[in-house]
Amino acid sequence: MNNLQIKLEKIQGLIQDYEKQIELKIFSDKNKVIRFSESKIQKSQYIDKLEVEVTVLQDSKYATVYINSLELNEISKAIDTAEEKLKFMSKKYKSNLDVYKSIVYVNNEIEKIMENNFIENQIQTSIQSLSDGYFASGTVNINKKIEIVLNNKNLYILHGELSKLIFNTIVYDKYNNSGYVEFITDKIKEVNLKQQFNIALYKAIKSKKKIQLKTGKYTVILDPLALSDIINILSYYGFSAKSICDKKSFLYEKHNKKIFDERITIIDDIYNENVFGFPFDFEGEKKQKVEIIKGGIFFNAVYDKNSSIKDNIKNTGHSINDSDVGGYACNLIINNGDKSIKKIIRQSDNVVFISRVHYIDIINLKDGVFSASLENGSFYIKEGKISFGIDNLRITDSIFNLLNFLEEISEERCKVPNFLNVNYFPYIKVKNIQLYEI
Amino acid sequence: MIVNYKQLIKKVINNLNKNNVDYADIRITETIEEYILCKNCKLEDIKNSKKKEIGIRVIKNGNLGFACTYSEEKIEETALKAFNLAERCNTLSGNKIRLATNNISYIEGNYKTPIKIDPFKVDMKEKIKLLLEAQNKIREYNNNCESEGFMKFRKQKKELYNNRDTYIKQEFYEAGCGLRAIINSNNDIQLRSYPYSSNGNFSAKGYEYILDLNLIENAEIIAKEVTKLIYAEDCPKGIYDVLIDSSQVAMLIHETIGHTVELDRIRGFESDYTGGSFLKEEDVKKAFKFASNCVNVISDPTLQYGLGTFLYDDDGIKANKFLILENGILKNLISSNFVSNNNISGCGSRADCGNDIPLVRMSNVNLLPGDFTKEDIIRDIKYGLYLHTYKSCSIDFNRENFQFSCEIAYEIRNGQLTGRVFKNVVYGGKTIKFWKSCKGICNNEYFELYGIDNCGKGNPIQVIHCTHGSSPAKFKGIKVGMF
Repeated sequence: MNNLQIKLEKIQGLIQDYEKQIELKIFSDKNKVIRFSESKIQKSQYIDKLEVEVTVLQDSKYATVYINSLELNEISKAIDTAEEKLKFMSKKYKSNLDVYKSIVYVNNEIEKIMENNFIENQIQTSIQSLSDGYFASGTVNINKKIEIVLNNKNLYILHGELSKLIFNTIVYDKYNNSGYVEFITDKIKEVNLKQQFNIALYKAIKSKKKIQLKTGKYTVILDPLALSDIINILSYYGFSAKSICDKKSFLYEKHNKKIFDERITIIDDIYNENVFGFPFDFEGEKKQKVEIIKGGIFFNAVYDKNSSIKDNIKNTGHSINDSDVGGYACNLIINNGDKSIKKIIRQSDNVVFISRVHYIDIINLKDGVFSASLENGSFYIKEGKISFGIDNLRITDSIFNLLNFLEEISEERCKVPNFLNVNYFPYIKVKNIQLYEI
Repeated sequence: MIVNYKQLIKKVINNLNKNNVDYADIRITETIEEYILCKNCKLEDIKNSKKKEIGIRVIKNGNLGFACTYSEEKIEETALKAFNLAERCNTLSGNKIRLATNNISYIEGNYKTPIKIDPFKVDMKEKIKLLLEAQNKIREYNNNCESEGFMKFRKQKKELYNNRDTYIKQEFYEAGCGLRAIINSNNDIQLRSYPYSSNGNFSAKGYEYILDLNLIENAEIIAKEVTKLIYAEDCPKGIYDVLIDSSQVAMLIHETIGHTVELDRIRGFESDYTGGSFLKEEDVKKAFKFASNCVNVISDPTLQYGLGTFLYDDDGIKANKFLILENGILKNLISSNFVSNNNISGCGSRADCGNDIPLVRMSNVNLLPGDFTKEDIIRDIKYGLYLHTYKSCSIDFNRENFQFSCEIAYEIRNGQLTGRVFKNVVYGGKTIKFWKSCKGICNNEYFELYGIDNCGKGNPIQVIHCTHGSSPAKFKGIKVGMF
């Protein structure tokens, strides 16, 4: 029995003595982080965070106190504070105590490389293999998360452990020609940082000859990373049932309507082999596969407990512990097409390739309008070849244009990290997208 | 629970010294927060949190290792982790750290935010009542308005020990509040916020900050304005002379000046994720012309009521103020003892809590007031806009170009406000061109402070609190409209 298990048993012993319903959520977040810049290790960090949510429930009221300790006296004090707060709270449905659950999920393969020099060696070898005149800055984060939900009626205990590696690097030369990659995995066999460095290097080399484009509508190819960054932030604010119910989302009044090109299907599916994450949400609800967009038609939003009660629809298990957000789809998958990205590029002329977008601002959520600058590896494709790098452009358009003016979807798809887990996205080619010179 | 805490710290530091570390420090933070949220005249949530965090930095042969923990019992284990990480860097040709100054020995310092009313001692009922009264005022004016309001209070104790016998103890208070009136029709959504953006405003004060805000009176003003906005036209697109209110100037300072002059960004330490800067270190020596002559920007960690106010930074360097821009010319960068320019230590090392490694950070960065009254500036505009209340922004990686949106624009015609307002306001530009187009700044009477509690930097992202002060300012020939 490890230290955590011993502490958990003691905590269970403590909360069992209370008459009121007590719920505890424990989030442990351990990270080994290596940051490098100018091709040298800059700093190494070991970050060990803990958050414990102590909730007291009574008469459909609940109150929560947040601490970062597993000490029994601190938990007792938190329970007292929460009880004190209960008198101010209004009645709301919150309890999860209606169903017996016990889920254990463990995916800890990557944790094995946290304590040895495996990653440091990969960084060193990869950086040394970069072409002369190129430098790299980036971060490797080996992350282990543990989430435990338990209550004092012993009705359920959910225990999840997940380890993953998140990597990003920018490779650049002294003239600021740069390329960027982001990579995420839960499997050691997929950790090949050298391959990732080489992709960033390729983009940096291709950025060398730069041209300035004028403001106008362009056909663009979006890298899975750029596509994921845009969809991800729009999903955060727009795919949740609460946002739709509150009339804030671009999906408001769009149920069962065709809103995107019929080739677009977007699902959220934790059980797909290409994504990963805990199979239960922050409220302890089992995650469901949700078909959000199918054949361009909007079918389903994602729910947390409160929004599912309000809409009288089965909870899809997408709570991120923020009632303002409602649900968040954090394992998005977009279907692929049948053409390789190489072929799509070969068949393109006067097309802008967008590798990365930065600092996305939602200008109008109701219309799904966003704006972001293009960074680190945007190219101009001329007669089927990546011919020039592109400087200083901004994309400002709507999600409806982005997923409606579709020309191609690539055969290949990539795993891309999002705020919480991972998306699995293809390249897409889209016409009539508004780019602005800046 | 550790009984003799200071002895344990001493033991840990002695052990690190025995291993010939160049430098070691231990930061301990204890943070208590209270957040009260009311929506549509009902209490929505109260969040209380209490956290203790311990961070340990070790430099060995110029290499930096950092480890943190939440448990006092793990201090020795955490110190060993930091040491091992620093040692491991050594075999990988690390980026050698040279401290700018070693004059941080034998400091014993104490600081406490001066407050009049401890917010944690104010009756919860009183706080809720005030928020609900303000929201009632919004609904009284327009029953179709959604209303939201919050208060947030924070108390943080911060201790710093290092292997130069430094012991610094500081205690910070913050109070914050935000009120929003929202009209959400089927096709449109508009909002007005007070006292700052929809994220609220924060100050290093006690509960007196809340009492001084005149929430009730201002609730009615934002209700009136949002009602007007929902029927307003979209902001016209074009090139206009604009008066930008102080809350927006504050965010412009933050995004286009503050982050741009952070030395670690300039050196590329953050270039993989949160970005770099278009500036070069040598631009200071070259007297780089950043803005028009009327623009003077100061970094001031000694500022009263600033969220970035301290006596010592997280490297143990005493707070001092310095000009970043003088008459528009770049004079200084924000640096620290770990990331220094010409071996002169700045006092810009900050981390919000023990979990975070200190980075080069803004403290309080302010645009110094000019000589104008608001009326002077408006009188000088033939046709233009008075852009008000920061809403959102997007800025590029190197801080060269930006796009901001604001809640409302007031029309100015023939030197007067016409009473007409516009919604869906977006404007932007290139940083240098924009600041060179600054043609006047309002005087001290209009100067206001805006506290930001969510400035993100680093990878993984960590948050810091800082303040920006400004008066409204006039900018000539600004691109307004989506671009």
